[in-house]
Amino acid sequence: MEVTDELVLHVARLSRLAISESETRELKSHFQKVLAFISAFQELDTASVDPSIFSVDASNVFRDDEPCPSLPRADALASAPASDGVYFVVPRIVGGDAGSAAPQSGVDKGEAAGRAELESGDDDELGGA
Amino acid sequence: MRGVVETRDAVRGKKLKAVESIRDAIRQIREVDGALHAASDVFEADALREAEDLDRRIARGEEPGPLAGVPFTVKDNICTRVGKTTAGSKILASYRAPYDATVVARLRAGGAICVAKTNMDEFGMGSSTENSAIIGPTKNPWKTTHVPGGSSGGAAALAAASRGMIHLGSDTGGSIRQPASYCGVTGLKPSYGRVSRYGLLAFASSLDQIGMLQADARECAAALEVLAGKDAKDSTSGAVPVPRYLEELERGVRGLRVGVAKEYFPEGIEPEVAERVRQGIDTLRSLGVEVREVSLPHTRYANPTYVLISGAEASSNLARYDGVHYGYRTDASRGLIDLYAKSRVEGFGPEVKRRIMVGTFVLSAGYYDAFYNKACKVRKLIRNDFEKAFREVDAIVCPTSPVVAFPIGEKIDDPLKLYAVDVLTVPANLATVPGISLPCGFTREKLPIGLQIYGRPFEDATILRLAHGFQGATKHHLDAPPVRARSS
Repeated sequence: MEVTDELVLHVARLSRLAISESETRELKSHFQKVLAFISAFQELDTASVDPSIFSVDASNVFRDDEPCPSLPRADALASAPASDGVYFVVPRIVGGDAGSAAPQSGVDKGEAAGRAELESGDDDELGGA
Repeated sequence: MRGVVETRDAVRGKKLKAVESIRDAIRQIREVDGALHAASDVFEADALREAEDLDRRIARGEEPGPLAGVPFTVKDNICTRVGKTTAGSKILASYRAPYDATVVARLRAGGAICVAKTNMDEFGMGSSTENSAIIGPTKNPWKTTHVPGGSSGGAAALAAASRGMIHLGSDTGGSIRQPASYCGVTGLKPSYGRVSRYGLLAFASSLDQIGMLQADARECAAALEVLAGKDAKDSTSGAVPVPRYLEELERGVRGLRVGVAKEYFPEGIEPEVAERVRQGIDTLRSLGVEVREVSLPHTRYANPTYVLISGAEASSNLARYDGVHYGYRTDASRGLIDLYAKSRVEGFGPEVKRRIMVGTFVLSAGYYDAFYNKACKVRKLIRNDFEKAFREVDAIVCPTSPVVAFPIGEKIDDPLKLYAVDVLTVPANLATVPGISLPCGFTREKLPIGLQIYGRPFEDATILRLAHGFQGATKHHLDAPPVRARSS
């Protein structure tokens, strides 16, 4: 298959990597080498083989529903690049100019310091089974 | 010089104070580290404080644990409360883990004391320890112009240049066994699930395994006895009884059946490597081991399969480094997505970015079936090969690496050349089987050669017995490299 700049940039966007022009060139050439490296196994007929995705047979391992201590909030926030002591602080993601710079502390907790789980709408799609 | 077992016995028998053991370990590290660049951090004050505390408990008559006073080092992708946990990456350059990994907690509960973190290729992605963004390349104690192998190169170099410590490493495609081979030490990658991965920064979760790099198989057994077992915090750890590995060693090797596969002596293998490994197989035969020919026909597909599966899993696992929860954050970003993309591109090194990109590609819409799913099918064929072979034999013996330690810089500009070095180690991770590398001789240049033994899943004891038997009949593991700490 042909590796194009568009493919590399598409994958970089999915990977959340803001790669430079020189990195795009380098990665394009790397993709080509990797495709050559793995070409050997394209010849293998695997139509009747079940894929082996996991390394253990266990599935849905549950623990007993017993309360136990979890990581204290202060410890969880200790290594964060920006926090207000309660939340991780990220750039504004709802209700405002999404292009504005990141607040460095929770000036307006309700809006500026969104929870980190929230993510702006994005239509990227990862493939999958 | 005292090994791990002797140190433990001396501290437990009150013939040696834990403080003396720790002081000696730190002296050894400091003595060789200028030349080797193997330790990313040394914890003198913390370790001595713990040792003093242990000595007081021993004086009061308390049970000090099965590894009392034994110093240990931790590869820098395994979480420790003490010091930083950087995984060799700029993105985690200042990260302090809020908890100890299960392996660290188990060693500490057993009376062992953490003295240092060791250098590695960023996130375990490399086979030479040249990809460390934190302290730069580690040197091989046998020849300091050469790589120690990787990614557990710091652990391997220290294991060769010092005595009496446990060195924890991790192995996703050979990262314990290949550096053990290049540095002339004994490295065990236990069966997948034998040792908890809780607290190991994930690279490829279906392949990653924690193990150790030691002077000999006996030290590996002593450490594994404490490290192995089910952990509620790692649902992939196996609830399989943990044998007394040290006692298992004494069962001998007579009557064990060992397979030799022609696929493990591939084209391009250095003639001296093949020759020494074949001599090693003769040594095993002379000890009463039955040697049979076996075939693992899909071996040549293992490396491409590994590149795709490990890349795919890495792209998913490394999504957590987002500049929000911990680690590096870019100074200049416009909006959240830009913050992610800039923090990641600035924080990750070139090889890590390559692997994330390849992994994302093979999982992406339109390419999943042709690449990732295909690789998982080939993994199944590779596992079938091992299952079939292990119906005939108890273990498989082969070289650890087709080459020996190479000069620093020789392969770093060609990632594919470096991937090729892993060809004989990746099958163990794909098949979840345990593997051990042990010294079996040297090249004319006096660079160590490693012999590798594979066993059935959860039969780690069998390969430890074979390695111990081999080391009882040979002296390669006793040879000391030019860079080596003085005896105490």
